Amino acid sequence: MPYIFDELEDPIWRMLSSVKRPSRYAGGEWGADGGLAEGKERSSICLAFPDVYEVGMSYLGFQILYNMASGIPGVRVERAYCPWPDAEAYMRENRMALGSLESGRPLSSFDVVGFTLQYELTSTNILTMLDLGGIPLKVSERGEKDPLVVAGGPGTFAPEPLVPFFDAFCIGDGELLLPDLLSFFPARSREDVLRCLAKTEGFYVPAFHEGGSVRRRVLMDLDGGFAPSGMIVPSSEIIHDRVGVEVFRGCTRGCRFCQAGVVSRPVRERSPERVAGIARDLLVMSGYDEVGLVSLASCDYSGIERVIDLLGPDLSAKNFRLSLPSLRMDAFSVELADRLEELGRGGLTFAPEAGTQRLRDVINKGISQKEMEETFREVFSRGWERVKLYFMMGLPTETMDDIEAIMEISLLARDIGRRLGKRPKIGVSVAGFVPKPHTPFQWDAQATVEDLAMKGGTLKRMAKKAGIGLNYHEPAQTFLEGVLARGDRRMAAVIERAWRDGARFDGWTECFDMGRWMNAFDSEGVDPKEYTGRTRGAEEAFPWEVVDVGVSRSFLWSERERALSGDLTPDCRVGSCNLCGWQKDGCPVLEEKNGQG
Amino acid sequence: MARVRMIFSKRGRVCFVPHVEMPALFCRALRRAGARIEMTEGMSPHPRISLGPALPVGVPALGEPLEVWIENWKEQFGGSINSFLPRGVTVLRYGVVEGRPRLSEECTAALYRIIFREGRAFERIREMISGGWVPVGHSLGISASGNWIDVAVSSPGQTGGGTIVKSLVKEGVARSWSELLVTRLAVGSWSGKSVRPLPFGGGGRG
Repeated sequence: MPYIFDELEDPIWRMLSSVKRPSRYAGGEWGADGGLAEGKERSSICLAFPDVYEVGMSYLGFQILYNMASGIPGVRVERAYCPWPDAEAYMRENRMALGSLESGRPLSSFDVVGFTLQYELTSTNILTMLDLGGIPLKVSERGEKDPLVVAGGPGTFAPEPLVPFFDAFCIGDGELLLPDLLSFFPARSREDVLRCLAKTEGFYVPAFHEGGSVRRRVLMDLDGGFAPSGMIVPSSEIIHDRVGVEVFRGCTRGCRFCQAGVVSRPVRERSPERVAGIARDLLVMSGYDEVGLVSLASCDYSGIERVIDLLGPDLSAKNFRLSLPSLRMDAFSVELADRLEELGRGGLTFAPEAGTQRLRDVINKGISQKEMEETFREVFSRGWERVKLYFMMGLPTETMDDIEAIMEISLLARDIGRRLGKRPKIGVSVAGFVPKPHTPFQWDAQATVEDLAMKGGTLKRMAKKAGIGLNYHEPAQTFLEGVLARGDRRMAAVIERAWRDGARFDGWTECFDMGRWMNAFDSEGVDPKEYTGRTRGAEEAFPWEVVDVGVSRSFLWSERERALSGDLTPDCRVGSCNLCGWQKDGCPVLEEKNGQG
Repeated sequence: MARVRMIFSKRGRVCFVPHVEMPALFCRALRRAGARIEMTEGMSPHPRISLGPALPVGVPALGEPLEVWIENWKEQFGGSINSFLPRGVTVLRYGVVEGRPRLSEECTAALYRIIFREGRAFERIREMISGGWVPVGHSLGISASGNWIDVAVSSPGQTGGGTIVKSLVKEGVARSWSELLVTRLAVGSWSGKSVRPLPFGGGGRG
């Protein structure tokens, strides 16, 4: 009997039959309808994630923006991810354009292509997507028919290295910026839109920038802002396969190495009722059986107990789970995790970040040795056996004593577990520290590749001897991340050169080739060490100061001084206001304190 | 508690979602429809659901079996399930089964159709078949027509589309999957002449 197989006519079927992990390119997921069920299209945006599908689909920001944009009348929203090199090669060989997952429409046919900048080492993937999507790489080469290429996400807080490739940078909370951006369409001309954007708060339009800094746009009232009621549910497994609900933005812990903690201030909480409501809606809509409470440090959420009370009974009746992706290192957090997870399930992850008390004081990671011991005792006595510990190497003022102490903590965890009659499995992950813009260490030199390789190698040997699993980040990748993180506009030529020479997926160790990058630096006459190897002067102006994130330079400098003298700065939710800059701009933490006072 | 058997088709790009991901995909769709799926016991409980013999990635299928144990089974879950499934996956039949052997025991044969994109390759294979060639050891029957060949195999858990393609590549008829469209028309038992679909309802091994 003849059957009709439309699959034979599918223009990408042959590609899907010949690449790795073809489900990445299949689309058709639950909830991915692109909005615009009826009515005329007024504007179209393609949300572009410069990494593979399974990484991009785990990013909550795009889930929120997709859901939001699809609710705006007349807006069509679709998505694109970066094809893996095998798919890219196939597409080039067969002259296929990179299109959206929803309709296959080439990137070049959208009004706006919006990238998120999550990680410095995805820069070359942006160029791959533009090029395959049929969009000229540089702003200067684009014409009226080309889309507006914009960027959002943490990378926009230091945008200069990518300026030649982006028409505009959207700086701050997407729920405020995206509707403003789309409101300028349909437009008479690119220039018209860009001129309007340049006058709108939170947009950095290099071509029409008149000096000064662009203030980050902040959604102060999360409850009053957009609440997602739908999400895209991937058909194949991704990294975070669950409903994610944001419980708060910002962080007051003040870890001095952490960029996210500075650039997302002030702390703004969602009410427990709202969190529970969103979680319920998304669980029903998605069919997931797990909801994760997402933030920079969910144990710090003041409404956590209330959310558990609100959601708990309903979830356990259905065998559903509630999870906290990040745990603070104290007994309370472990107890919380215990309430959420059944004993023996999974493992727990903690981030002491540095080996010695001295160095933890330098980075303002306020955990004491005693607290760590108590936490480990609590973990093992409550039945867990797997513990993952995150550390950094290459931190300012670090010595070999600090490095060796990383192993001492890991052994301490193991020994406490054994004493409690368990079979502890300790996994240690060590990242090379990259001083980031808008942090107290933005003035500091970064550890060299050689230094990180020596320290990583030492740790690896010690861990092997002790039978503990340890991995550390590739020092050359850490180096490149550092160069791009604090880079200036000269970096764009280097990125383009490296890309033309074949650099792709530089964040993936199997693709990364430092030689290619060194050649690119060489041909463009840029000395990368100039960006990582020197301590900057107190008065030096930085390229990223074109963005004002809301935290003052004087606060960052004073934090750096306190770091070097080993002084702790208490969490302003507990202690007094640290005058980070938000005290004059409606900081909710301060307002709550004043209200109570 | 109800043991529910479903027959579904998998068409279009969703065929590139691996077989191992299908149970989770169905569980989510069932939960959207309001069903509560029974959990297995033991250290790491998971939803009680099982699929038929592995369907290779990139193979459209017209009648794949699935069984799931549902705590609050209502007829309406079956009726509405298609409006909760992602594009390309469609439930064609469903029903409560009782007392039947496990799915893996009931699925003893499968019928593959391999469509040739290029006419010359197909002519070659047609000649080979008339000469008595069989692609795999577990072949129950083989025929050629149109621009395709139909191959019925026993032990579908071990012999699948991949084995057939390998054998075609070995014979030099095709270079890779991308020159063919491999499809699975049916999974069930061998009647002596054709692959019989799986039964529903109660009863023994009939």
